[in-house]
Amino acid sequence: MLQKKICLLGSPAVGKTSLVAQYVHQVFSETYLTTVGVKIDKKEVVAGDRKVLLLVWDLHGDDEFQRLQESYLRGTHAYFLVADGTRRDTLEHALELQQRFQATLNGIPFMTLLNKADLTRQWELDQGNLDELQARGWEFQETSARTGKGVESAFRRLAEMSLQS
Amino acid sequence: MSEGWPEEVRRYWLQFCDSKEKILWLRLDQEGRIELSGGDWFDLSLPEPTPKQPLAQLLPWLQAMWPAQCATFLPAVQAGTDSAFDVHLWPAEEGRNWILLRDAREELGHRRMAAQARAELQHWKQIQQRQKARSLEPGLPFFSIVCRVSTEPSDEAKAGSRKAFHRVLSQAGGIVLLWAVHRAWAVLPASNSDLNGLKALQGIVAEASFAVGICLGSGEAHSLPDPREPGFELTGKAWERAERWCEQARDGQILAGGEFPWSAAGFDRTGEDAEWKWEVGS
Repeated sequence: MLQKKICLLGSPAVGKTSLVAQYVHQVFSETYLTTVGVKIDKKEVVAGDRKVLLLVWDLHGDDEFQRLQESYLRGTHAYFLVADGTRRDTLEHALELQQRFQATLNGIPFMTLLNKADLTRQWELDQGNLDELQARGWEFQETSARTGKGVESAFRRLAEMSLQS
Repeated sequence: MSEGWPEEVRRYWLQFCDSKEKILWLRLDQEGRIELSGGDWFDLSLPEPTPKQPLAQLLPWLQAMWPAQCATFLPAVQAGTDSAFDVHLWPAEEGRNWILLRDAREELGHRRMAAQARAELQHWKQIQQRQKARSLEPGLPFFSIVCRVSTEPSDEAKAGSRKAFHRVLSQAGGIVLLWAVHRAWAVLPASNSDLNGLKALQGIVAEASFAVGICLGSGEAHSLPDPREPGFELTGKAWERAERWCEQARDGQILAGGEFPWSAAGFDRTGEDAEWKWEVGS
């Protein structure tokens, strides 16, 4: 079976691990447990008319204390940039990560996930932010690891994109 | 044996020889099949490799990293429920590759504890900064609230009281800016439509035996410059007065400034039978 490595990148506490838990195990926990290093999960999906084994690399959050190592990204077929919609700065950081790893990630398909869509009252992103993503030609999707909104479809879409890489 | 190894790997190997840590190793041929292997694979919850077995079959998660063009280090890789490895890959002669897996389970536990504490601190700081930005919007009147938790018997009970206070404030549209030891500094919107917030506060004050001082006006909150000590320094007359009332209040009592009755009068009567009461300072 075809194997594809996909990575999740973003600031700490944006919900990367929760997205994977929701997608792979259909569970959500309110408890925040920070990821150290990388956690690898796998799941079979059908993308187009092909069966694909997704190897999901859930990378630790990148911040000033714990910089993400480029070596984790080697051999990636597609990736998610994950931001927390209730914290605008996490979207800015996602854009910065994409720039920082340009050399390794250049040409690799990706999608931006705006997570925590269930927290509508605390949502900080506005139309201007979405317009900016659109202007860059980036695919993006609102997701909620808590409710599952947009999660399955985002992974399926990324699997399809990985087949084109 | 170590001749030609990258310095990073050599140093790591020497450290390993000095310790009693468990290690697994593989040498792959040009096609990514296993030529040589060593270590107790079963003990580290991995299947035993067999000669000529493809890497993709033995460790599918590592397949994308092969072949290594240069020495590569992947710390703290968790590819199953019971395992965690530091992974090294490096190219050898004639297109071969070495892979070294070092058991990192014990170390991961320590690193996780440290990272968790740091992440929570960082996350808390970010939330506070965001709350500050929201709470100090110009032109919006606020009540400054200082609350003392003075009679809690245990940390657990204190945490419960904090949580309750936080919940009540949040539901009323207010924000707890800072917790320090036994005190909370908070703001609550002071528009007439938000007087229900004060009403909700009455309940929690009586129930949890808080001592509270309230003053109209939010004062100013300045972010502390040291990132290792996230929080706010609160200045301004309103805070000073609220702190003074808080200091003078008995447990279960709210003391408010002289300007307060105009807004409190509307629901003052509803609390006549409760343990708390409003008292107006000079």
